[in-house]
Amino acid sequence: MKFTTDRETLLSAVQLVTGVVERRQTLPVLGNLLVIVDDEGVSLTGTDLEVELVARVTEGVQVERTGEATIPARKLADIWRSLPENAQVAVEAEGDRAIVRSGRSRFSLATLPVADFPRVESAPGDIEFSIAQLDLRRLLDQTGFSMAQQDVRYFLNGLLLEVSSEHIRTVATDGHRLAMCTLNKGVAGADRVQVIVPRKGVVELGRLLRDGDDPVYITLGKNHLRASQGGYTLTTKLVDGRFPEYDKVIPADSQNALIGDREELKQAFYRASILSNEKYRGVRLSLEREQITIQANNPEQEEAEEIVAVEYNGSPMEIGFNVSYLQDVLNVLDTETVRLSINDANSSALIEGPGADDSVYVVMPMRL
Amino acid sequence: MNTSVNAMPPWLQDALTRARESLEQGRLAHGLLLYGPPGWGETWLANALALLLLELPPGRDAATLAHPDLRWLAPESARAQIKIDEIRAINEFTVQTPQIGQRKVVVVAQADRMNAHAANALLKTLEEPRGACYLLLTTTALAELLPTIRSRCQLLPIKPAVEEVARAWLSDQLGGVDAQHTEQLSFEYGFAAIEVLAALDREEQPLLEELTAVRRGRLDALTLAGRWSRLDVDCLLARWMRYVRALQQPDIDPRLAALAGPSMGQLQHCFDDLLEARAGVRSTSNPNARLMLEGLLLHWREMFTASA
Repeated sequence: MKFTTDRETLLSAVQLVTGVVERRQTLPVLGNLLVIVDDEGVSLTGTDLEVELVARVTEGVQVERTGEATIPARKLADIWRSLPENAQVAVEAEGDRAIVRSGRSRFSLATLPVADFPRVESAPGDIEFSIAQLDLRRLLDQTGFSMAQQDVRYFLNGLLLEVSSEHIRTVATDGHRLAMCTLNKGVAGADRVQVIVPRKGVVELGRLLRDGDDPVYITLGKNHLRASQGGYTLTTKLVDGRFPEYDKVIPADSQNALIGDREELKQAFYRASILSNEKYRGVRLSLEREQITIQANNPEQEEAEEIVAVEYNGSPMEIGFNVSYLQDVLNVLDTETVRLSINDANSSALIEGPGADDSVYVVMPMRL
Repeated sequence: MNTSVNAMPPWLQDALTRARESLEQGRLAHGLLLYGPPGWGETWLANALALLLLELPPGRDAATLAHPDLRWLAPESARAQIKIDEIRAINEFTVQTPQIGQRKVVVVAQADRMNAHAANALLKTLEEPRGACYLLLTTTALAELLPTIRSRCQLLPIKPAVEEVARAWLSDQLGGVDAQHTEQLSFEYGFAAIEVLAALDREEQPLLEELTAVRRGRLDALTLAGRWSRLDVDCLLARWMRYVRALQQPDIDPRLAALAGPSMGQLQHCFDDLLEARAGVRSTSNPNARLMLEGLLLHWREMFTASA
């Protein structure tokens, strides 16, 4: 195979596809990209056997000879990135070598047999739909941080994607907190289909999305999720399990609702967290009329106290939280103010951003 | 690794056939423990079974196969343990959907090398695997596996063949090349045919010549100790012990005539020394192999001069 192009044409493709490749793996061929050159252009494929990303580039590529080769991913990406801007590059594979040439630079890379590279047939999906990249990105960003990590409840180590005729929804929970984001644009004919996308699939999907209205095409199968966008096709396995009934976890609105300035609360929580227990991250919230006191202390008997003015007309109470969970929510919300509803010190709190009704957050309290 | 159907030795073929029948009858357990004495091909069996479950043609090396529905885990080096992070990655794999076929397969080769944390992390997966997921554990040291692991697996024992069968199979593999050399190595490895094949592949020489040379004083014990210390010392001692045992037999094999002489008591003493040295090698104390071999070889030489 042989083709020529300029550095910029393939730069993001090489980098994105290489992003899927694991730094350390036992099977050498998984450290390589599969490069396929056909009459129309070039395809690059990277995989870790869980997530596969294919980049297809047809414009700005001059094909001289069709063919296939596997080329060391990281080395190719490093070379590509460090070539001068707009450099003309020729890539050629012959025998067990791939040659990359540009100007006065020449690199000879060791290839591995193409037959060793795993190929997954493009299995048909049960549901197909398109969604604006911006919308999908929001669904992921607003919830992804709440996924569990290496939890024995393996079905929590991923993001629930629920598709119905009324909405597309994402939910993530680690058992201590939950995040849910809903897009009120349904998919006709979808009967509340649920899939759990593993963490790595969520991360790689997020890297693929741009902040525009351009659509991304999603295919959901029994065993995979596929997303296609502007020449990129990402395929990820799914977590084989049932996600918990999340609706039961979301508390009904409470009388005791506090509304405060999001930025001000975020800063106050951050400062208080400095002196909270490094392991348990507990803070005590004292709710009084029109103000909230945040207290933290650590085993060294150091203490922090922050008083923030808020709108609050409920009964006075004290409640403890893991401050990291509150900070995570305040970080992803983009509203001016934030609304915190609490029933009592032993039940979960509901956090929302007034004006951004698509996302809700539930945080369990902590016994102090 | 050549594991095509034809090359499958008869003693493994039996185990494979049993497993295939169980699978066809829907009785194959999701956790399988493939075990047998060292050198009889438990890994070959795991390889063949993995390919069978994934509906792949036989003959491929599953350990180096990049397949989305297969994970092959083995200790990273000769003495390395299998650690919890590696098992966690396996656990993550087992709860994900298969990509190509209906089944997923995990092989944990030398499962006895899992440390306690790793073994415990695997228990839940062994107990309730998700979907059609098969876990194939192999070991040559059954006793070193946690009982909790063992009890969660269907046992698939490999029964070593008799000498004649092993000899015939080896000869088939090698096409009768250098039969005497092969026979001598086979003796040292107790006719564990797969290990003999690997030893031939490594171009190993039988120990007999060097042991005789030291006995005759034609080879310096210190020189040989230096050379031997670079080999797999545990395995080397086991091979050496086979000679000592053979010399203790009432009728000494004519090929060992050059080593005849020492009394039963001296030989037993020598055997005990080798046994102790082996225990030392296997323990974590990590003795200086060269120093230890020098001592053993000097004793070996003395044994003959004392009996002469």
